[in-house]
Amino acid sequence: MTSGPAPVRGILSSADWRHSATRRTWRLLHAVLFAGLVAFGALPLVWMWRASISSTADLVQRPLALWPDPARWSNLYDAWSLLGIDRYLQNTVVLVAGSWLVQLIVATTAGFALAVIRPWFGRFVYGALLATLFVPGTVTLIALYLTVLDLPGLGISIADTPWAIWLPAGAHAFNVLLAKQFFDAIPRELFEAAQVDGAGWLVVFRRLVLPMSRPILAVISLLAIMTAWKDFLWPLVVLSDPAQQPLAVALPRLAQNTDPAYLVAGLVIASVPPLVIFLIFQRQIVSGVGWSGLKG
Amino acid sequence: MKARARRVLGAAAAMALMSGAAACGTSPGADPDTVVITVMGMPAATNTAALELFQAQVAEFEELNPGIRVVGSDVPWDAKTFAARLAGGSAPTLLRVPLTEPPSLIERGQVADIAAEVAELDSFEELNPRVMQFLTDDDAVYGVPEKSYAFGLVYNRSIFTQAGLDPDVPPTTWEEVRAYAAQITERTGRVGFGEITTNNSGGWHLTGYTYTHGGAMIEQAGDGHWVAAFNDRPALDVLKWWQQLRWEDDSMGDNVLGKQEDMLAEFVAGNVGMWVSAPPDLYPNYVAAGGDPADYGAGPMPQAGADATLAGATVLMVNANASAAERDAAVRWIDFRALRPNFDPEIAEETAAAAAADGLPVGVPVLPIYSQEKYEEIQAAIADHVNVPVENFAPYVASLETFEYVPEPVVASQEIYAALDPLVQAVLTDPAADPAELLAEAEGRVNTILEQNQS
Amino acid sequence: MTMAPERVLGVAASGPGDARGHRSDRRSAGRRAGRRRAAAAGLVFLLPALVIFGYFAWWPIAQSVVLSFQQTNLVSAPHWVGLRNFAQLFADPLLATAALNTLWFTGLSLLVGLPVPLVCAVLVSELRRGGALARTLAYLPVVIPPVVAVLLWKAFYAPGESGVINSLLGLFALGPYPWLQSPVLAMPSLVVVATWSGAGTAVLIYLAALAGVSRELYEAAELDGASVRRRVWHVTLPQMRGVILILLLLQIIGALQVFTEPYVMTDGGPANATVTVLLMIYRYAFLFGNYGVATALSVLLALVLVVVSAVYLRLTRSWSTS
Repeated sequence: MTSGPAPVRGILSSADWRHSATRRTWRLLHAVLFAGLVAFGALPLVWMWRASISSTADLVQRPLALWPDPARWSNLYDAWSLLGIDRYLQNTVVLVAGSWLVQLIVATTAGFALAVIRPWFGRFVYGALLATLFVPGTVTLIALYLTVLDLPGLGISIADTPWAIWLPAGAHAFNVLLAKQFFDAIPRELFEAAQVDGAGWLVVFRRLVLPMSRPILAVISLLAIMTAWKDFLWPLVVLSDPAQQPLAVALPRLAQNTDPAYLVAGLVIASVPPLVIFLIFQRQIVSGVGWSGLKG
Repeated sequence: MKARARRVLGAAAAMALMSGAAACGTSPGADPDTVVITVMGMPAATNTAALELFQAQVAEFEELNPGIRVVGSDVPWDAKTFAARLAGGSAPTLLRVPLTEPPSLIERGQVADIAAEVAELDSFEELNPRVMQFLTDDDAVYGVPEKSYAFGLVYNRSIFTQAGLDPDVPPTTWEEVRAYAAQITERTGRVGFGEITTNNSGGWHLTGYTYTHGGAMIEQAGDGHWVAAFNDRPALDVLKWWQQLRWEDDSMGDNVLGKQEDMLAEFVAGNVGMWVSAPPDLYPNYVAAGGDPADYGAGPMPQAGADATLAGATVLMVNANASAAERDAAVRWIDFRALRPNFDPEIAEETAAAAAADGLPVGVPVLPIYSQEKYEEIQAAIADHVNVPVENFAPYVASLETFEYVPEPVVASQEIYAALDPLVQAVLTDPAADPAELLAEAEGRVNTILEQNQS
Repeated sequence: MTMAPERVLGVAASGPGDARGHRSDRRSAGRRAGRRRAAAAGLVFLLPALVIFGYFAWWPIAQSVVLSFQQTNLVSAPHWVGLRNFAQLFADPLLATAALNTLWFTGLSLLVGLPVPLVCAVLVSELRRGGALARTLAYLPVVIPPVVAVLLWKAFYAPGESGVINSLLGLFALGPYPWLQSPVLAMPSLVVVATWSGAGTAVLIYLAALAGVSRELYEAAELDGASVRRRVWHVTLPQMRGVILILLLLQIIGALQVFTEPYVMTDGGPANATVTVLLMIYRYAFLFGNYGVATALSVLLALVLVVVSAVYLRLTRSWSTS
């Protein structure tokens, strides 16, 4: 307990914390909070880990145990090789990486054009981009699918290729909005000075704006990667060829006729990459950088 | 910033490499003269022995047919995703589908006419006309059967023994099944009678059970249009029978929302006494999943007066997108893998020897795709290699000779099954469900489906 | 992406054309040339966005309206059918079921998904120690891919006494319950999963908003003798109203489009108890190949979403001004 005026206070003040009845109530509430958080946040994942190295019989006989008996580590390897998790994981990485790259390119170039170059038609384009925010992707699912099957004017189908995931991922107006707002805040004198020095827009973009934009690039990247990793409905629809499918689509299909223990091993493997990314960026994500208004 | 550009380039290059590597797995295409066909029916990687046999057959076939490359696909037909795969253009060259699919595939022009190619096969003329009528249209031929099946009762012999039932005398009527199921649950605590209700299997089973009561799912009205015919006594009796087992006897267990694969897993684990399936079709999967051959019992389809059973088939068809060379290659492969072992005694013997050596089941009694005489000839040829406890199939085989075979609905069968799944689920999950009301509702729904499919 | 060099060349090619313009007033001409150059360069930089949005956002949105009046099955050429798709849709008894199910799901997920993250956030914000741990624990489920979460919970919900949740409840002599196997319990079970995987985000957003509530207001309330409960009620909640209302809207819009949970866990069963609007769209299109009717339903869903948003914004505006 600190005494004197606390620099940071919440709803409760230090005086409240010194009040024994209040303190007891809130200690109890906090104990309940942590119990709940552990029960819902941690235990399901611990159970998943345990189940992934258990035999199916062990799972049925001791469903609540948190340690397997006997531990069957070979599940992870079997799931990896027999279920083809390795291939699906590779597909996922390829799809996520491409979606990320396309989103970055579209967001930064468009944001740069709208915030820095500011052509006279910019606000119309910006309006048209933002308008798409009001039409959720699921609503245009069918039309988008038919578009991908037969690209208008080109007459080619990109269904069952990674392009069917990569390119539509770029049509995400929120990224453009983030990039534009960030670039808007860069003092214009910098661009004018660079142009006086004879730099073209491409140089300004690459040498000046991009290096200054690490924070927003990080935010867009994180959003892009997380969204792409979690995406289910669109890849389910557009990647009907099992050889192309990411883990998210392959797992429910495999779930239909797979030994539960292998399946859970597959679930664990699918969860590890996002968990690792989360733990790396944990501080930034959890402390709430740019959380206002962001919801995947 | 150069470092950044390099990093982005590096990522792009890595992506290109990876997607290139991924593409390599499916399309080799090095030699332009090579015809590459993708074929469904490759066993899953978890079924090691069957997969090895398949790969050996591919190797042999490719040696016999230079210039043809066969790429297997282990993704089975699935009611939920197959239409999308076809529409998306990613379906393989050779399609392996249930007999319910051909009418709509033919109507939508999604399968190729292979009349010219199959005419060259010696065995084509002898294929069973009962199946071929669904695969031909005037002179056009759209497919050939790989195997036929008829519904029967699959049961666990050792659970029968534990429950004090005679494993050699399976029940033959639904009333007996009910009594047996109750006894199994009471004495062993296992599921007496298992049921499947998702991915169209509920509608499929309701159809099969209704046939045993002498009912029909659809019928042709005076003007030749098909209409629903199941809102009647037979289907109602089936639903009421289910309700008795589920809610009065409690002999169906807790999990009634599965499909064939789920039930098979439960059955292999020894948790289920009896259920309805195609006993010979199921057996190889049962053994591959680790089931004990000695425990597998196959009885006749339980009856309620009609002495009829639902019969279907697995058929092989060629994708309409296939080129002439691919069509030819696909038909050669069909002949090589599916037809010859059922037609040419010498090949049958060879295949059986190879399968037996790999520990795969040989000699499962099936519904013949050729004539009964041909079937017996083949059975005699492979007699030395039979490793299946054929006597366990005896009650089922005996019933095949006396039962009438009823085909599945000829119009929109999978859509009808899909519309009936909720009905079966309602009866088995809601104690207050009213079967008569549910049937009337489903009748309206199925009639809508039929109308849309015949306009 | 690989087209970038051509685009750069495109700028260079348009350069001389710009230089050709002559005007007596050099400053004005220079400005106009500058504007034109900016337009050209702007166009080049906007090209990726224009192409991508053109193909994958604007065109499909326009196409949706067209498709809903056409019969499209990918086999025969599409043709106009007027309102027949909508007529067929309204003749389908499943539409009412799906709409009601979707509303039921939405209602339930607000019932749980609104208060739980809010209460969690308030409690976490008052933690003097372990705040980072609490935030991490709350956010962990969000990190798990939704499909994994759904398959994991499907295992938890296994019926009978050996199911994870049932054996847990068995410790307290409850159950076993049929969960996903029961038309009554199936939907609430799905809501639990959806809330589990979504609540963490809401907690973090509320926490960010809580950090923005002015300390002085609490001080003032405390000096006025307001109890903790009254401070929450009269200071915290009113200050958070904006965030709460926006999250509420997002939650409603998200819940109306629920798909993964019913598709993977129950496939709409048992007895259509969990068929949602999006699941119905999916079935019409990808099971029955009837893209026209599927799109017609999408258009209806879009209308509902727009109306919900508009009404909502209208209401919240009138609340905040009154």
